[in-house]
Amino acid sequence: MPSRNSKKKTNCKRRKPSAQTLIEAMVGFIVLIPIALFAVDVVALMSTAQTNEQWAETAARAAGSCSCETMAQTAVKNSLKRFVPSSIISSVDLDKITFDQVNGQVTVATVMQINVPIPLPWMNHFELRASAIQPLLGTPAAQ
Amino acid sequence: MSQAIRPLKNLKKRRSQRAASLILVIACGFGLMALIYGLFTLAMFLGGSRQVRNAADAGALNVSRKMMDIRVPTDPKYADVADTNGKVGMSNVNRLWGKAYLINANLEEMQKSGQAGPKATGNGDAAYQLAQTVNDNLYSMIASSKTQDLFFHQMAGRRTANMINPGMGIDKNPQYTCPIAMVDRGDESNLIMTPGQIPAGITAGKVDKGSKSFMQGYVPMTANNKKFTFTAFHEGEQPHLISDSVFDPNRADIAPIEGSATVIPNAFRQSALAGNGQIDSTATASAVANPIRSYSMTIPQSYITLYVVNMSNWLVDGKKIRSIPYETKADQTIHGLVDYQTPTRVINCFGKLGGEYASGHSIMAIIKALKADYQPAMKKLLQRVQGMDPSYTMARLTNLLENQNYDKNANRYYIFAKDDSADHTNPQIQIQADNGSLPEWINVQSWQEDFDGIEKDLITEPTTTDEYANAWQSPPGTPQPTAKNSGVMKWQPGSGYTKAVGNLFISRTTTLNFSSKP
Repeated sequence: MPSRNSKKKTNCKRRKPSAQTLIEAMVGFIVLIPIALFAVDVVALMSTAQTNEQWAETAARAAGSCSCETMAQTAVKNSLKRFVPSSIISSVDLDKITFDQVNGQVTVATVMQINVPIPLPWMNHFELRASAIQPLLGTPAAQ
Repeated sequence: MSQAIRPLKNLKKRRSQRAASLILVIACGFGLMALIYGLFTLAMFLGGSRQVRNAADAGALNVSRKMMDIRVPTDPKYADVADTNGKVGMSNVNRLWGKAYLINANLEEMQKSGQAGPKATGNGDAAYQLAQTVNDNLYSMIASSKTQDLFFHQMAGRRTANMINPGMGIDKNPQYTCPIAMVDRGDESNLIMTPGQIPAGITAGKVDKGSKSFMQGYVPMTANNKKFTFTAFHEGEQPHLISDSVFDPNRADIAPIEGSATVIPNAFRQSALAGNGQIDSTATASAVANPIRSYSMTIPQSYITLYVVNMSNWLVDGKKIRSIPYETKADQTIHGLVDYQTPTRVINCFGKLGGEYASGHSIMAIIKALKADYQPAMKKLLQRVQGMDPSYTMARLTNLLENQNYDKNANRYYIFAKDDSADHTNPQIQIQADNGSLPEWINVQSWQEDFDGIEKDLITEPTTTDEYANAWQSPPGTPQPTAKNSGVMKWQPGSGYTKAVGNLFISRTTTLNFSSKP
């Protein structure tokens, strides 16, 4: 028959490994979960950056098909109107348009407002910028 | 034995219990990081690939657009179809060929009607050869990979594939040749035409679109045994990207245009490359060019001459005594033979001439005065005038001729296109006497040398007696004097190579016969 002391010792032994696992898991998750959440934000930022580039590309292509700067601005705004806001991307707007008739090219810069899916301290709102250059296709060849 | 093993067992038990979760958590952490890194790399590569694709698209579009800026000097014979700087490029090369085609179509008609003069063949060959030389010069610049690389880099070189290799630009794929293609075969070119401007008996391929007709693109057509091919450009379209399935079957090296090795292409393919030393991303894009500008098929600096000769022949007893020209106006009384001594007596002979011009003395009235169907002459005139302005109509031509009175002091009239625009694209058809202020490109002195065709009767008027003229004499004779009136319209064609495209000569003769017998 085991003594009282020895019984106490056995109980202690049983509780210790489970607590250790719990503590280890908790410590691990405390480290891993922020990394994972940060990774989700990074992936979201990367994805939206690419989306912004694509919007800039689309807008530049729309501007490239116009024959004057006024029309180009309208075309860019119209093309950006097709953007549907989401919980992550709140807006895409025209930042700057450079209509260079001398060199036959147009540069369109867009600015995209991002709300990261997992708000982190001081890092819940981002502004992404992208620009694209396209040839001017809407101007007739020289006479 | 069991004694020896026990400590080891205890050790194993202790280690697994203590670090199992930590190891698992660390392993999960590494796994998660590896997964994140993998996804990150994949996303970067996919994003980079899209950047390369976009660069290839923009580069190809820029090539198709900037090709319009490639211009070569033209020959002085084709200066009237060149641009404002006297050059020819992709946008107006069809205009150059249009003029060459019209010249050769005119020549073919001249040959068929037996009116080709000794200079005709040489002029047709020269017109074709000069156009071909300009075309070939342009082709060698357009098909050159150097030119294409330059335009590709202007656009793609200003982009980066920073998702593949931060800071690195996008290059042209060096392993890729620059194929060119002739797409939209059988569709319209940017050359507007009117079927009426093509001489009778010549078939030109045309495409009707809306109210306009265009010369057909990339379908060789023959005139004067020479092949002409026009570059296809869709009306109202901008340069745009096309798929490989459109480009490939029309590649110049796979499906060349028969008999036109150096026909100007309208589509270009470009390939972009970006790499970071480990992975390369390439993308190709094809684009079709369009000048967004159309021209009329014309010989802008060409002219038609028109002149009238009214001649009265004065005969006594059937023998011609003298000829006197008369004006293009009605009721002119001419005392043609004054105190003429016949073998038996002295007579004075009179004539009342010009009755055929009772309806007026405009050029149209002069043409209509011919008592025959004058429409063939009008059709000839209109075909040649439409060679200057395809939009010109018979009603406008009739109106032009009706509003121009024939000046007796003028030797001939010129019908030509006055054009103040720098590239001769705004023709205003005019008629003017040679004593007026004609454009400097019309050489009034050597006008006859400009014609490479031979004159031939076009319309012959039946002879009328005492209908449009009257003759009388003093003292009267037997038989009664008669006045016979006849006319002929002659057409001398010109190909247009030396500017002259036609000469309409109206000759009216009134023969008055008197008698010496009392």
